[in-house]
Amino acid sequence: MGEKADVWQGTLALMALKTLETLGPQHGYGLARRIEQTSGDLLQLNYGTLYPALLKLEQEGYIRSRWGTSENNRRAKFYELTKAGQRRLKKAAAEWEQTTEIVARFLAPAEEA
Amino acid sequence: MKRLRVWVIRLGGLFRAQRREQELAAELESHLQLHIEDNLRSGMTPEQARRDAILKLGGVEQAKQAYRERATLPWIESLLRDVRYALRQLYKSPGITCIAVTTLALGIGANTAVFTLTWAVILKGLPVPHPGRLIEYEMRNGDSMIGLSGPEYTVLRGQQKSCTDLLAWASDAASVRNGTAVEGRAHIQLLSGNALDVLEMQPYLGNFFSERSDTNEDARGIPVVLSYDYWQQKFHGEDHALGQTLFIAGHPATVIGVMPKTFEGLTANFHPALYLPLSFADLLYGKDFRNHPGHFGHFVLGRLRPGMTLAAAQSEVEAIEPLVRQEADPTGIYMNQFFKPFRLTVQDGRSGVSWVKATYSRPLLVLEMLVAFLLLLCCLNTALVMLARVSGRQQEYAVRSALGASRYRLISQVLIETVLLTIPGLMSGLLLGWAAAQALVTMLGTMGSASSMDVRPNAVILGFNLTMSLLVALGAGLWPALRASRTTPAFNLKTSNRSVAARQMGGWVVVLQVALSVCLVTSAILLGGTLGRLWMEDSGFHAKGTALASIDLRASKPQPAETARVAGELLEDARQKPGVTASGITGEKPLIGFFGASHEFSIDAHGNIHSDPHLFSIQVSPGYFDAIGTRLLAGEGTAPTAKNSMPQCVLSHDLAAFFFPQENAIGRIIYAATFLQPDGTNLDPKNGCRVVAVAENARLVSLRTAAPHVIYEVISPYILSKSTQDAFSSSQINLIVHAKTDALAIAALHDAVKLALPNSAEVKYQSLRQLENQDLNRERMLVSMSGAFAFLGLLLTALGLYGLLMRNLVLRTSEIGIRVALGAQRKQIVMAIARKALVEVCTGLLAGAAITIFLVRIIRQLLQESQPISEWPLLISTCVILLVAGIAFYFPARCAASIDPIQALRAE
Repeated sequence: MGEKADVWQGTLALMALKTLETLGPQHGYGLARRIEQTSGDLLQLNYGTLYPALLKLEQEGYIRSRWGTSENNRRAKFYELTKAGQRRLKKAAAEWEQTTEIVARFLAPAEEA
Repeated sequence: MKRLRVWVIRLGGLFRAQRREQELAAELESHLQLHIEDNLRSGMTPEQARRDAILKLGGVEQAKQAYRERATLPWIESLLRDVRYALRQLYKSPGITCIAVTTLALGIGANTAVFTLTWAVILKGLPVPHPGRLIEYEMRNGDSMIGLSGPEYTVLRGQQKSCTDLLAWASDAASVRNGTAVEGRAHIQLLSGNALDVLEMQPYLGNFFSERSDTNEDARGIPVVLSYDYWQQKFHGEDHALGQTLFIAGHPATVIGVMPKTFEGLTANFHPALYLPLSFADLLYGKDFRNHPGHFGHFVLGRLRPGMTLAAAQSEVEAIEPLVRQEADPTGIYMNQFFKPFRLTVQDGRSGVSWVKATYSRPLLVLEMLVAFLLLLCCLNTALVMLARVSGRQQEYAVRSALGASRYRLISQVLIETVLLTIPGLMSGLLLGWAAAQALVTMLGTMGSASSMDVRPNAVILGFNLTMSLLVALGAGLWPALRASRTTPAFNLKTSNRSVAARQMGGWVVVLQVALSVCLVTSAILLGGTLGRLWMEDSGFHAKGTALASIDLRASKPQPAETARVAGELLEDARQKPGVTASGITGEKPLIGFFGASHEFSIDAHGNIHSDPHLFSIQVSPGYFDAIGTRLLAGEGTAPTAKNSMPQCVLSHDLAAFFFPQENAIGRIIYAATFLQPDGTNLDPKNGCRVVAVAENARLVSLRTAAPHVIYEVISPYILSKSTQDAFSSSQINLIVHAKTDALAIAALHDAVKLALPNSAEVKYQSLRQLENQDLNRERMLVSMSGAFAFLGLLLTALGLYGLLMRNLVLRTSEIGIRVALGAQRKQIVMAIARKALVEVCTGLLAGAAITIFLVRIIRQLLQESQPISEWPLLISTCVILLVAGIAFYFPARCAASIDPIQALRAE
């Protein structure tokens, strides 16, 4: 368990938050599918890892969950973004953009050369 | 904040595991169903759909485990499980658990007792901001210290630059009357007006005196500030106390404030009830007190300027001392004669002035050292117990290890078991320690000052003991834990014969235990020897049947003639009481630890001048020598009969030999030295006294210090007043009587005082033996404590040795059984068992002797012991330990010798 996994965990949380913002309340399966689709199937997401990540977000107060019924009448646990989650998403997205921008600047001259 | 929230939720997760599991299972199930339905819709067969859904989920069990770890705090879960298991294990062997707990309780109890005292005496500072920046000025001569005179304080305050300011105070007791209600006597402390500024504190209620109160020009009368306790007791903590009038020693004073609860005065353990301005001394003692160059009753604290240190303040004092002495006492009578050996010094003032601290800080350090040894011994014993448990469970560890328990889990399991042993040990140890500390304070308390010492439990003491016990637990548990974790399942699971692994267990523990015991026992014997020597050696007076009444007549402000009359009556009355053989009066109470030095000289037959500036000069009545039991070696201690004849004096033996080497001192003249005139120039008979007798040496100052050079001025009580210049000592009478028993002597004193002084004078009755005990309080405390430690040490060593031998014996039962069956003699069996134990004990004795030599050196240095080192304590302690080891060995050996081979082998 090195730093890479942490980064991955962090990005997964960010993706989940962003997806919940776009979709509104959603169950775990739907969330997983949507993340995969959004990535253009570039991400091979192990669906099982999503649940501990969701639990962590819930413990931190960024999302809340309740049991409901899915579009095809199945009982499922729905997750939705809280106020704190929205703030967190904004902040994390900004940070992420900044990070990628910095990294991109480092990589750009090398590509030119 | 967020982290805390997560922690709380996860901690809560420990308690609803079942519901969470169900919910997660349901959620994963619904996930799978949704996925399968999707897959079916995209055209897969039901089987394919299910397989794909499960594959994508990535293993249900892994997902559940990751979820579980996230939902709770896994390490707490395993910790709780370990605790439950450890409790079961301890419960299963109550005997061993009891012994281990008792051992720890005793060790921690001793530690608590000593540390509570150390805290109260040495470490606790005044309850003011930055007490460590306070320094105390005093006049010191070796072990004895006095305060500063009023002029000395004034000059010093003006001259010094180390401190922002100095404050001065004095302590006494006075009668207090509130309106018509007599409140009895109360401790009072007189403080200079700037005291609270220097201390950087505020009164709890109302105001404090201003600087103006120092000059007695405050037109608003005498202000008084109450201590918090007094305010609570007498005014029930009500605000209307402010503005009330109290009559203190007959003078009306107005209550202007209340001190904070934590503040208990500047003299440790004195607990003043009332605080008054320093100028109140003018009313109590007359103007003399604050202006007299010879009354060293002012105690002085200063607050160091930022950046200044104690050492810098000390060197400053050394530089300005000549000037201070000169200006404070222009005639030089006090500074350069009576108190010449006393030098102005600076001390750490964090605790204010504390005689207890000065007397007991070094002995307490010695005790702290010894208690550390004892605690180590407890630690070793606990380690032995744990080791025995661990070695008995080798197979269990092997199984756990084979099943995948990590080494860390095995170690933590043993450590948790040790810590659990420590907890009840700590609890009972704390209770035991506090009880012991109270008892010790009571024992030291005969002085009055120590009895009110605050030894209430507090957070620091608790914290210190918690840390110590945790260290003990870790120290005791770590080695057995490492041993347990070093299990090799393949080997341990196969061998059912545990003795192979356990046989050589813990020999070095015995060595260490014996070594530590040698240290403890030798120290105790050494300290006991010192006390014994001080008690047994001829002191130059007889304590048995002698008692003393100190009568304070200051309250009635008697004329000198009146004092003389009272003294004469007391002498006569006391002598006529039943059982009384002699009565006398002395100007100085014996065994109070210090004296003001006089300077006198003689001229011998060859015209040589012999001068002694450090004499103990005492005025005594003729009956004094019989009363206290100091023998006259030559001549007779009689007083002059006529008022104007030359004073007569008695010299102590050493002083006579010093003043008149190899001559007869009787009939010769001793002259008092005059300031600024060389000895021998002023031979005015008015300054002289005629030697009428030579007395044996007497250790009058303290049994601990060598007999001082004493010059007794023998005076008839009826003219006592004439030669007494000092207004203070003339209102103080020390009456000594000798009777058949202490009780008779005390009773005689009571009767005599009642007859001669019907009005209420303040009288303190003490037998000389009590004074001796007080004088040797320090040694007595050391002996009783170190004795107790040594006893505990021996007990622990015996227990450890016994336990180890017994255990090894159990492991070797079958071996011994075979030997006996093959025809071995009992003697051989015992020898086989004994050999190893004997080697261990002897190694321990040698190691102990080596450590003891260092330890004794440190103790002697701390206590400033000057007697030559003797090897007896070490020899005696060696014998004692051999004896104890022999007793501990006897029972296992008897067991071994009586092993029945048939029984032993059947058990195998």
